[in-house]
Amino acid sequence: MVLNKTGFASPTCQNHPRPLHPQPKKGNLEAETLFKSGSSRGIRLTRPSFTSEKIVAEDFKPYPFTAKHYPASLQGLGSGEATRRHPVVVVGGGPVGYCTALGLANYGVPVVLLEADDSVCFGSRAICISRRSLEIIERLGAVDGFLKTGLAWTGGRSFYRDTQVLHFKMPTDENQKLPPMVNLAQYSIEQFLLDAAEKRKDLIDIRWQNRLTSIEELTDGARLTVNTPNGDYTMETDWVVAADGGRSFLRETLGLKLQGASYEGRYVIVDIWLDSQRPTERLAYFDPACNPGSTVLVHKQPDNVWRIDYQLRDGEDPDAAIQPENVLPRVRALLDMMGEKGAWNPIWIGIYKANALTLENYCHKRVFFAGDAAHLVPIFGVRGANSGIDDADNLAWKLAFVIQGLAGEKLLESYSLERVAAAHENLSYGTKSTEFMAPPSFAFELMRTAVLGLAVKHPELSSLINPRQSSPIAYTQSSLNAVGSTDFDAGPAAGHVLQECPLTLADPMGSRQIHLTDLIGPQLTALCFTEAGEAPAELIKMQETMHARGIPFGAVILTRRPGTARDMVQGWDHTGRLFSMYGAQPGTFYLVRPDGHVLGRWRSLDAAAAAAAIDAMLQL
Amino acid sequence: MTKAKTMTDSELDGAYTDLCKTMTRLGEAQSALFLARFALLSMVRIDDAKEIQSLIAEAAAIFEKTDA
Repeated sequence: MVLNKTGFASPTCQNHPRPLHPQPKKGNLEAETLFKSGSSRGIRLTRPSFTSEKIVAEDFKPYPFTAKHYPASLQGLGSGEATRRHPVVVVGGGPVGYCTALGLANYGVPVVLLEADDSVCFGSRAICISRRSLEIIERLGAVDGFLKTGLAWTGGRSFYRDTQVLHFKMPTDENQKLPPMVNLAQYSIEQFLLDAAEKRKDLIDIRWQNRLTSIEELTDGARLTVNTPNGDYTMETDWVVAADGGRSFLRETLGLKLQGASYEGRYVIVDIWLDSQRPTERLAYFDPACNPGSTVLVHKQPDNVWRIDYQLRDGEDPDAAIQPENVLPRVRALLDMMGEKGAWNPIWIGIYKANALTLENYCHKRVFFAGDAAHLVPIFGVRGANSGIDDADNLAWKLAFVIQGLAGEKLLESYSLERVAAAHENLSYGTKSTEFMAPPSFAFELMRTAVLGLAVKHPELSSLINPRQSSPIAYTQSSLNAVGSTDFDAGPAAGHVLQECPLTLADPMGSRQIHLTDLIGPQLTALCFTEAGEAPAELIKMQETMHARGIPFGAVILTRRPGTARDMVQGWDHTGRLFSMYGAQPGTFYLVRPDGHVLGRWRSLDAAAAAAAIDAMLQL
Repeated sequence: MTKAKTMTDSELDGAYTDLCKTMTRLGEAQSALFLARFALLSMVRIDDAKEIQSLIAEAAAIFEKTDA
């Protein structure tokens, strides 16, 4: 049997399907609420004993991935731990924990990362990584594996019975560097981030099989008790990041409650191995002939792994529904309907119930909640892992600035304000998608049937079928946003992420092609638009002042005509699209935060206003 | 109707959800009467008999197709 590890074992993987025979290692009240139906009943998947010769061929197969198992880290048990004080402990080695640790390491901040398990996660969880997440992961030095192994895709199709009712495309054009989405199994997502974290051993101390068992909140930090196979130890830290997943131990132990809605509709999730050349796209089948009355989603993953999600019919018993003898005939019928003739084998079966929940504050004294520990977003629209990666990106630089004495602690409040607002936006899209994919009442079901039946002849209704895939969220209400100039006719306003555009980087060693987001690093970035590369004296002075204050700051000159590199990084708008995309004239000035969101913009460089915006942001 | 479309996708989405939620609140037993009232109000707002006739035919088409 291949299910040698439960999907719930890794604390950061938990807003996702309930696998067969779950053995939750953590006692957690949310788990019982969120995954009520039989999660503690321990259904064990054994090799199905089919009598039909036809189905015998469908034996379970392991994932085409072998997780490395790590021995327990015991350095916490050493005598040094009692006398050390750590700046940050990240709890949870999932995508969000790794992204936070890597983000902090980019600023030279040492991090202890506690992971209760001994390997990356198992099973079918997050599978879609958005362009925005890829941008973040690139800044964390881990994107190569995502692009090399992940399957890039740009759109999808929806069918009602046998008729195509929607063909959607995600925004993509010649300006983009990265695909709008890649499909990659979460075990690979974690592995690539882990690989990057292991390269930062100088700063990231990953402690496998170290389970947090209690937290004592101190006025200026926290004392943590950690369990290892060889005994317990305590450690002190200034800050804690709770990236410990949907069943967050920290959320529970601190008595914090998620607010929002839980949906009744359940989806069975099946990963199969299938030999098929079908392109990568999102396929949705409403009321298909193979599974009348249900909704079926199909996603291709790397290495011939296919993820199939199908909705349980009303009144179906979820425990029976995930038994192979009930699942596999439906998979077979789906593949027959799709015309897939290749060999296939089941790999994994789980069940999922959509939740749309969030904490109302992600800062709790010295503990910051991120990812599924902070919010549970429905899978429809792929906003779960992607919003967690954005949390990590938002938090890491702020925490690093505070730890390094560059910013006041008040800056950290903006983490919660910005990301709670983002969660509400994600939840509203996720809720809309869920209401369509798993109608919560007869009315949503009836109206959906009407939409699906009319959409072919009335494409103006097809937007209602669109899955509302994850897109970057703007912090429009952020208190960090500088007022700046308000008369721009294009380009990202304060709080928005940068729009991508190719550039030619003028380098003393020769020029090369880059994209605008390549200019964003672990620093504040000033984009100064000029005609041919002349750096304004004000800007040079501003950079010198910032550097003298120890503030990571990089000025970039963006030129309309090719210039020669001098003292500052210089990018030439060789396509002629950048200036108009940013509503820019020579003199236009954008200040960009380390997470790629615009802090403020001005029609012409006003160094005093820009410095004031930075000071206001730093909250000193 | 010849009128240019002014409702955005997001407004349509909001209206759709509002309708679904209202109907959910009223309950399944009332939904036919609710939709009938909504249809009547829409008719007087559309204010174009030919247009209404064509919409009726179109709304019924799916049943006629299924029955066939």
